[in-house]
Amino acid sequence: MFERSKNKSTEIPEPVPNAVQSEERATYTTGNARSAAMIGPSIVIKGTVTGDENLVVQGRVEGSIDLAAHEVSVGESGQVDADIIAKVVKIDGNVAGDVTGKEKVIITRSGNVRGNIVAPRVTLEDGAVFKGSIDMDPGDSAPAAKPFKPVSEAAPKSDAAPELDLKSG
Amino acid sequence: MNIPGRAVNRASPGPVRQSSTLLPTLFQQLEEREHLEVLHLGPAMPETVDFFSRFRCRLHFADVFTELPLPDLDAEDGPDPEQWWQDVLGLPEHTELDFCLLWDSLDFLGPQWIEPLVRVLRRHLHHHSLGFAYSVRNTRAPQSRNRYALLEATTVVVRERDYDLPGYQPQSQRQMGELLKCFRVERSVLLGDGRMEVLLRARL
Repeated sequence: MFERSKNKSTEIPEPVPNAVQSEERATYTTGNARSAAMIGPSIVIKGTVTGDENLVVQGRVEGSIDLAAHEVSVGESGQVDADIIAKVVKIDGNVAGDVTGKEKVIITRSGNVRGNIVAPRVTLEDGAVFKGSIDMDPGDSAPAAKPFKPVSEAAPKSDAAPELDLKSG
Repeated sequence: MNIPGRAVNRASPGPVRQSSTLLPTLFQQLEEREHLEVLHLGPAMPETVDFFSRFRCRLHFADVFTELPLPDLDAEDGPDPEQWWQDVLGLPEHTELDFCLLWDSLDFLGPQWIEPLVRVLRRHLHHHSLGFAYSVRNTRAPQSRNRYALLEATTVVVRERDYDLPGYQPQSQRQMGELLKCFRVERSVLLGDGRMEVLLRARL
């Protein structure tokens, strides 16, 4: 009934996933700078935004953004009260609405999202604020057929161990 | 981060990796499910999103800590607590949760907020729903200030806030078991810091 253990903790560098995110961000920004339409900080658009190029939103959009084959970036000064559909969505600013990323959605540390996200892959940086649901389906790119390893495979060697185990009925 | 009205006592240390005894057991039971509905009561954290992004799932984030201190239910204009929870959880009507990550949120709720939470949660649980929470061994235990994220099925990442949250009123495991009527405590493990991991199973 009772087990003894130490439950040690190990300090880790912060934040763990950000190295990958920084690389993603750099790649994305470079591509974006080449061919992206810009909604400037003083611009307000009410309605549906569609088109055939990437989009950077530094201003305000109310309605919907549908650029399913392209990339949408909401800049730090961007305020989007709209649903967004795009291939890749990167959010540095504020979004209130549902976000669909055909490939992925990235919410950076300055991003603030209230809404539901649907994307095969979602990256959230430490400091980002998110309220809503995230619906993820990595499809065939999932690394394993079974999501969770059996205990015997998964238990770490050095820092795992309960101090006292109490079973309740 | 300095929140007005909240005393800053010391700088937060960096994130710390903490092993879990019960999470692997829990995930082993979820292993065969092709799609997971997960409720995470707490701030959305990078590692948690990254962990679940490998799998077919829907993660529902409800950061109850940003709602503290909770409204006064005895006030004339106090909210209806069930409606309040429905708004905070934001769960679509027919959502059936496989797994509830409650972390240490119950330490900040108290009976008058846990009871309506249970009534709302019960509508979204099924007979095989599981839960995970942290509890205190002793109700005099100081507030932990921890924010939790899931790094692996065996490992939690802990970041510390640099301020105390209002409304800390921890429940003993017995009290928690009595209040959290939609779950039964299946197993608990005492941790080195005097806190407890608790594995919960739906009780409908």
